[in-house]
Amino acid sequence: MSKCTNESTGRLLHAYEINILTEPEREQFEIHLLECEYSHDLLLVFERQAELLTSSSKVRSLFDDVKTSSTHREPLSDRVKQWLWPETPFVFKPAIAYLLVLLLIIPAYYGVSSHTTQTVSEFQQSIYLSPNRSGSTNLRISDGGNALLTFRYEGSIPEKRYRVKIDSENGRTMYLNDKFSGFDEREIGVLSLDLSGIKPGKYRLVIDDPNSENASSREYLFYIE
Amino acid sequence: MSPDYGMSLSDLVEKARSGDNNAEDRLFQILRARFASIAKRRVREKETAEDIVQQACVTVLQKYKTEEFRAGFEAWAYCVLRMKIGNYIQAKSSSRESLDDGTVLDRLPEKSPSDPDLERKLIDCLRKIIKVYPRYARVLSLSYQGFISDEICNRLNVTKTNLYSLLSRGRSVLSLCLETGRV
Repeated sequence: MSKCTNESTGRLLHAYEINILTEPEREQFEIHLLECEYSHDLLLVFERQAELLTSSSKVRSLFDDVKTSSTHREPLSDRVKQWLWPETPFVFKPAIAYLLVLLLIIPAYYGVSSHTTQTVSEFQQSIYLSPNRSGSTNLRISDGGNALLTFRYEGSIPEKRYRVKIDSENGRTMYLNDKFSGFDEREIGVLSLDLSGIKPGKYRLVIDDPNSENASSREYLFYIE
Repeated sequence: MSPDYGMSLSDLVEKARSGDNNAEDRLFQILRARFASIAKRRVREKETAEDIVQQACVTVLQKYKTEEFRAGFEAWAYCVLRMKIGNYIQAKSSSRESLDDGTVLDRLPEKSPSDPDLERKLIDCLRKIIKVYPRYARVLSLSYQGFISDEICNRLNVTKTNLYSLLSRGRSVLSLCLETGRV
């Protein structure tokens, strides 16, 4: 026979072998033994081992030092092992769950981390260009990445397009945007400037309205070092 | 279910009751073996166990064709065996080593092992198991102290289901170790 006729009773087998069943359980199992060839065969196969297990004084002496109280604290390593890898079916072992969580967290962490790093690096330097301080505003290329330049253009209107230009000291245009529409209600514009292609030196940022002849332009000076 | 007939003990009884002698022979061959497994765990002496099995089989043979089995043949046959064991125990009740709870003997005899190699292998395996599977070792230790399943569950703060699962796992680990030497 390849299968137990009553698995809920058949699981009492080893408890029966080591004589720890209560009398009702024992009777239940013995009746089961009469009807189940599978359990009876298992009992016969392990008969000598079970007999030694229950009757050998040498075997018993092995267990003299085994703690038997539920309050007994097992070594930390055993407790950790028991916690992570208890006697449960494989899929229910906490270690598997923790591993799966880690497998999900690690890529998520690196995704968030790289995104954050990228965002920070884009705006490593954030500088407010003021007419009063324009001559002393420095950006450092050695810091790499992008700079966020904030400036004001009096009379600017949100969403309207203006021209923003950055010229070097020798008149070379390093940046030109004819459709800059980044001004808000407070007439403040924000420009992200990639410093990687710009040499150290003195630069001038010019804002004007190409569609209005009457509008004045605004200039800011800053240094890249 | 017997390999010869492909049927359960109850099915064999039905066939034997209807006059199938082969089924009856097979029925008592199986019954004798299973009675023996039970009887020798209940009484200490092998010869006594064989006598009890013989007596129980004779009683079953005499009555099984006419008896009504309310709870099934196996339960009835088991009652016959238990009665024979009970009679033996009653007769030996004055002996100081006869009983466990007034009805049965429940410990195997303390005797020197007849298989020292197996004992040595068993000890080696149990040494390993005590380290890697301490809960199983604790159950064994409690069983040596005379505790039964209910008491062991209380002591270890586990349910019966957990205890039997733990024991099944321990038995498997022990069997594997005895075969391969590995835990």
